[in-house]
Amino acid sequence: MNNFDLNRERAVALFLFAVLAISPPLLAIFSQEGRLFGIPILYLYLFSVWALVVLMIALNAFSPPAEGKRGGLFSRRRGAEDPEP
Amino acid sequence: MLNSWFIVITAFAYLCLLFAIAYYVDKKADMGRSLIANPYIYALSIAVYCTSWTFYGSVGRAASGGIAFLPIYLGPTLVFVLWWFLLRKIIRISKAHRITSIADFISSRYGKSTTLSVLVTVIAVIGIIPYISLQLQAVSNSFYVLLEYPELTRPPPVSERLSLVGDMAFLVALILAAFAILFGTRHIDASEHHEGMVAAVAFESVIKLLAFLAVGIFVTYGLYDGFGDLFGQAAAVPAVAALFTLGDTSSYAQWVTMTILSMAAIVCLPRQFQVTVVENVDETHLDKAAWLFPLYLLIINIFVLPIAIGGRLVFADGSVDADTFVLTLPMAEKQEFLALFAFLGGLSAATGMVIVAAIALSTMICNDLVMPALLRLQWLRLTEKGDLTGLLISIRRVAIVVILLLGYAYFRFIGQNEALVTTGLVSFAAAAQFAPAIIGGILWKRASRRGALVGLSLGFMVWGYTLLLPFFAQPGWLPPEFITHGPFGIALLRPFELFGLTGLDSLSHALFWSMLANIGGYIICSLWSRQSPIERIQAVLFVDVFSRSGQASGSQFWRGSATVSDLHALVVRFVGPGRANRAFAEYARVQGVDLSKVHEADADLVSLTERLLAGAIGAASARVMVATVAKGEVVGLEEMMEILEETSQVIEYSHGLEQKSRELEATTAELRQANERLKELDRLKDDFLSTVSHELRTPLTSIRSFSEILFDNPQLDEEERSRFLRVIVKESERLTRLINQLLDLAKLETGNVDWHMEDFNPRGALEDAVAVAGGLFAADMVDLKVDLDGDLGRIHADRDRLIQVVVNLLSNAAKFSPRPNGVVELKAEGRPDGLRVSVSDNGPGIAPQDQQLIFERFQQANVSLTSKPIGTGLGLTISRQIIEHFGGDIGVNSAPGAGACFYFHVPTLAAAEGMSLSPAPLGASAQSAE
Repeated sequence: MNNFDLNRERAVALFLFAVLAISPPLLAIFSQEGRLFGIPILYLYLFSVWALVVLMIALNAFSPPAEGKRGGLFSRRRGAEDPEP
Repeated sequence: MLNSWFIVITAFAYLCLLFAIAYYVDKKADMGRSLIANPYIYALSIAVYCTSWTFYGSVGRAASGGIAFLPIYLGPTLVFVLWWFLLRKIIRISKAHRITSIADFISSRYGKSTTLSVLVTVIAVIGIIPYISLQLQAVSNSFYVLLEYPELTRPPPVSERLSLVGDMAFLVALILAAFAILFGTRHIDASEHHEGMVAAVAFESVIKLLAFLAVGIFVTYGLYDGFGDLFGQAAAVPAVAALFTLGDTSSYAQWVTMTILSMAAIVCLPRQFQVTVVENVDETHLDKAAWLFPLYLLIINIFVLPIAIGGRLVFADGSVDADTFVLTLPMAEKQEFLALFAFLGGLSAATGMVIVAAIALSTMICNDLVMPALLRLQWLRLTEKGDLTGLLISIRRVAIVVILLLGYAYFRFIGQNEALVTTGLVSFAAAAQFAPAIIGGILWKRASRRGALVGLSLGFMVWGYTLLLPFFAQPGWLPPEFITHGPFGIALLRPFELFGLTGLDSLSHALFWSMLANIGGYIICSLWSRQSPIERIQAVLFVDVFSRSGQASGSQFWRGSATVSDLHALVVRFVGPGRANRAFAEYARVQGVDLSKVHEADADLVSLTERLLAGAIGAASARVMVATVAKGEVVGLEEMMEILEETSQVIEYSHGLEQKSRELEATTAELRQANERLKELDRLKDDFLSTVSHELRTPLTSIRSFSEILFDNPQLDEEERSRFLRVIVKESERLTRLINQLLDLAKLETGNVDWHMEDFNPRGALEDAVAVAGGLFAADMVDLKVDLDGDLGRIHADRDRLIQVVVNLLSNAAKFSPRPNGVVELKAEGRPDGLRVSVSDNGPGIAPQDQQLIFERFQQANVSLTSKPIGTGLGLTISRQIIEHFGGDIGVNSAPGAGACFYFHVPTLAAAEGMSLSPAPLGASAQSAE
């Protein structure tokens, strides 16, 4: 499996995770009056998840080549830009 | 200090700074140096998403709903996670097709449909006008609030504000119109980048972020002692502490609705499409922007809740509009400069959005609404008139002014009483109507023009009925009963409770019904309608954009006849002579043709023309214009399907691959075989060497031992001595013969023999052979019968070699014949297929398993009578080589105890002619020879 497919699948997984993380059932769990480190729990939770997602996007970001096939078999890597570190 | 003049001058100074930045960057761009071609500027320009809605409205929203403001920013983050499928693909498509706007994109995808482009433009303009008015409203409100410093007031009702000319918002609208005209309509080709505009917007994104952070930090660490203190104090006030949580079920419904809306908005809002897609310089910038933009959203939102809570705590009496907390909190603390900075931040948030939206909408109005209409009006004869670049630019400029005036009018007469976020969400819901057509368009090939038309129309109508129409009730243009009781008192049609759906907020309600109508119509009509050829082409080009080269924009689908000069003239009229000449010269250079000598344009040039026009006037109009000069049509459906068969490429590739792998397998097998053969040959060579050594050693051993006996025993008697000497001579002869034959065989096998081929009658040669061998038979007392009667024909062969073969066969027969009653018969006969010569004896015969072997080197039939080999074992091998060289074959018929009959065929000249003349007799004769 080449990097592009892997990154794509990771992106889908991350998307599903993010959708789940901000879905009402989970929000309901964190929607409490209490505070953690002096910060409302829901507020802290959402920003933490958000920061995590942004971090994961950054780790997962890289460009597929500008030309080439998507078939997965052919010349995908030819002319690939350098992936982001 | 903060008097009106100071504020106004500061605001205008700031706007002038924007002009300067844009001007400078555009100048640099004209000189070929792009200052915006990096992912950071790109990400900042996408941050035009954060408008005064974010800057002022989020706080206002948070002040009443707590964390509920957040989905507007979480949605885009989700979309950027899926960058891979959506935005990157849209960008790739847009670059390939020179897409200039979202209307262009949708119309292009669904067969370059003009109807669709008009519909999208209408929806976009109607949907975005409230959004623009929101920005102007925020500018106006913030101006009036700041003006009252140090008093803290709500912004006055619009009717009590200054006259039109004196209204800050109006002036700002005019200035922004000027900016958009200056930096947004410089190029005819709308698919080109507006570098100055992008730079200014990116700069504004920095300003609004810094301003908001400044206010946030001031509130959190100036008014309070950090987050802990702030939230701690808030927790003590139950009404404010409620903001920490989400509240009841309907807040969750709204949460989901807003997430979905914002996800759609980040893709579908015209201005977002403009900055992310049209203004994208390099696709790889996405890599960084994909996380920088969500990071920007995260940072700018950190202090929203603290500011809102701070505002609620400070202005506990509710005397201040929550939408102005960002401004009023610094004012309340007498932080003049911070308040001014906040004002500038709000101004930058508003102006950035207005500029980009105005440019995006003006492009759409010009390319997708006005131009198609003008081109259709026959009496204008536009399709025949000269230079149209001026007309295009003028239309866009007028459109910009009209859009801003509409925005201002909406703010002035309709929307002024709404909270910022409410107005913004109406626009979001309108933009979201594009989502099914866009997302479906790039993922689903069957999605059809009719589906998109029906879906968009239905969704737009439901949106208008459930969201926009109720707004008109407030200025009194509609009776309030319309909303409370439904039109004509029909309760089922109440705009906020359509078909009796209750329990949802108006936004969720509208989103549900509009999406139901939109997606439902889109899918059903797509599945039950037939796509036209052009729709199918575009569908495949869009959906499979990654598997086709970026230039595959359909050139192979034009099969028209157009002249080069016609096309050139057409392009000149829409993009001006400079650009047209450059583009055509570039084309000529790349294609290696001299356009001045070519009369008929090929499909590529027609396609280039269409792309150039598409950049200037949109895909739909470009198609209409090209059709006026290219008198062709799209290639026939059959041919097209051949080209476009969904998986044809893939299948072709995989067939090719299979073929290759089969070839590879075959080659591997061949190689393996060759390798086996080589190993076999190697083994044979070793065998041969050892056999030869053995064969040479046998006579040598005899010679040596008899010589030693003679040497060691001089007293041997004469008879004994001569017997031994005879053996020695005989073995020497054998050795010589062996060596001669080895050399002969080697020559035959390597092809180093000088053949003396000639045509002759074989009888003479056979008689010679009998004469040579005759002595042998006489000595061995073997009877030789010769039968050479009949017509033997003439053969093409080497006479001496033929004699050699016959002598060899005869001597073999003599050797194996019994003594004394041996009989050998030589028989020759002319057959239709050639000469047949046989030598039979009445010897011991040859076992069937040996009959092939004896023709191999050094293989002799197992002769049980004597262990001593007779002959060299090379004679038959040599004979076979010779006969095969003559084009014949050699063999043996024998059974143990019944003698052996060696025979060979050599084709006669007559037979060879017969073969070349008519193959049929040969087949018949070959069978008879069997």
